[in-house]
Order: sequence, then C-alpha cells, then structure tokens
Amino acid sequence: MPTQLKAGNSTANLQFTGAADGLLNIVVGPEATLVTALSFAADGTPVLAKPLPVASGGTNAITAAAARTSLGLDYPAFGRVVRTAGNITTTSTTLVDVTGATVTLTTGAFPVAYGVAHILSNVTAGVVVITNIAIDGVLQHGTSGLILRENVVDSEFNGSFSAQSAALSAGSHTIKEQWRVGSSTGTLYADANYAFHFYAQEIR
Amino acid sequence: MHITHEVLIDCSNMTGAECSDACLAALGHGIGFKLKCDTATDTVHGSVSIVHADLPNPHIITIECYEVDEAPTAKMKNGMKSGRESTLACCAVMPTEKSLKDKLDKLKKAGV
Repeated sequence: MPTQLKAGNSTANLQFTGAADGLLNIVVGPEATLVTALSFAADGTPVLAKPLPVASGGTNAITAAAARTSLGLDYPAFGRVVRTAGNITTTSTTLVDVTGATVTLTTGAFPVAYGVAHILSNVTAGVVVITNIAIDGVLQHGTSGLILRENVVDSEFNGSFSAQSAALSAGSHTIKEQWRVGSSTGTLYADANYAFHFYAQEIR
Repeated sequence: MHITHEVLIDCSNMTGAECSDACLAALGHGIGFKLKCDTATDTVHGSVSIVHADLPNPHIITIECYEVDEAPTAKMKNGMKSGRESTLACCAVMPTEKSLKDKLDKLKKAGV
C-alpha cells in the first residue's frame, strides 16, 4: 500500500524525489476505491491523469469515453429536429424564430454543419419568403438571408439549404432557423405530408 | 411585447394562411393595429406566427407587438437602393396581454 497523506488543517510541502521515470500519484476518493486524479513525474512535469494501477491499490480501469476525452477524440456533437405537428405560418416582416427549429450543441473549437429541408409558400404571388440561420444570435447568411420568391399564388417551393459555420469556440452553442416574409402570409410546411427537418452537427 | 398562447382550433377545412387571417381578425387586425403587411412598404405594428397543430393538440400562436418605431430597411439590388421594406411602428394604444389572449380564446374549438 503506498504512503498515504490524509487531509488535515495544516499546510505542508510534499516533496517527491523519486527516479526520473518514477511517478507521484495524487489520489482521491474512498480508501476502498482509489483513483488517480493527477500524476507528476520526478521533475515536476504533470502527467495526463490516468487510473491507479492495481498493484498500487487502484482499479487500473478507464472508460472508453474518458480515454477519448483525455486524447481529445470525443465524438462530434449533433442534434436534429423533425416537425410534423402542423404547418407554421407567419406574417412577420422581421426575422423571427421558426418554432421548434433550435438545436443546442456543446462543441469543441470546431465548426458546425447545419441544414434544413422544408417546403415554403406565400399566399401572394411575387412576394418573398426569407430564411436565415442564427448561431448564438449571429446571422450566418447576411443581414437579410436566403430569398425565395413565390411565383404562383400559394404554390409550394423547396426552401431547403445547408452550409457550414466558421470554427466556434469550445462550449455551448444555440443554432436556430429564422424566417420572415416581404408581406402577406408565409407558410412553412411541417405536417405528416411534408415533414420539416433541421439539423446541426459538429465537424471534427 | 411578445406573447405566446395556446388555443384549441380546428382549421382542418382551410389553409394555414386562412386560419392565420381568422386569428388576425379576432385580434383586431386593422389600420390602427396592423399585424400583417398587405404590401411590402406598409407600416405594421406587429406580427403573428402560428403552429397549426391538428386537434387534440392546440395551435401555438405567437404575437409580437412592436414597442418602438423603426425606420424601414432599404432594399438593395446590385448595390443600389431599390425601394424600402416595411415600417415598424408602435401602435397608438398598446393592447394588454390579457386582452389579446381573451380574443384568441374565442376561437377555441368551435373552429374559425
């Protein structure tokens, strides 16, 4: 059993003068199940946290997820929304959120790919429907967005698109679709006949 | 002002746009309280977005009423101004959230 220094109220230095290839393991947890929190080489270099070997009282076990995380190989984050509950209409001439079209991802410092598959229409011929994507409130397709113009009164047209963001910062990000009309009433089809898909995925 | 309200509406016999127009009428859409642009350059006081779910699920109605005036956005084409978009304006008498919800509740179940 390795030497144990139990927590107390005094402050003291713990000096390690082992061989160059030796390690000082700082362990935490109940005595019955010691795990390594941090290791230091004899020269003070921190070593990636690893499980305490069985010979030293540990379990020598590491999960695959922990190994991926420690090596920076986490699976890419992804999310998807499929809406079939009913079509969505709007009369807004300023960009408003498409109801339900929001994906929140926790990513590394990587870009995300996103896309939508939906059918749009406007009641009035000659009038536009405009869609855009906001990532953390920042519009990705310009201050206006992607324009589709209704040629025939209330005729459905394919408003699907996809794109890729710039590299995001590591952390949580909200990706949402927004839309508006030039005038009149726009319809985004999202029922059992015309399922609406919205997705975002981290690119690693 | 942003309001979201759920109402049980049967609009199975009409288009979403027709159901939206019925909701606008119930809310008092008109010259003094305009919630939809008839032309691209209209002055508008808000908007209505609706998820037209089938019964027994409710319609999810989101009403936005502008609280400040905002000048129209210039439309650009080939780098030149080619007109302007709608003017956003605060209506003279801002309705209360309760009054708007009460008006929508009158559309409940009986259909529009």
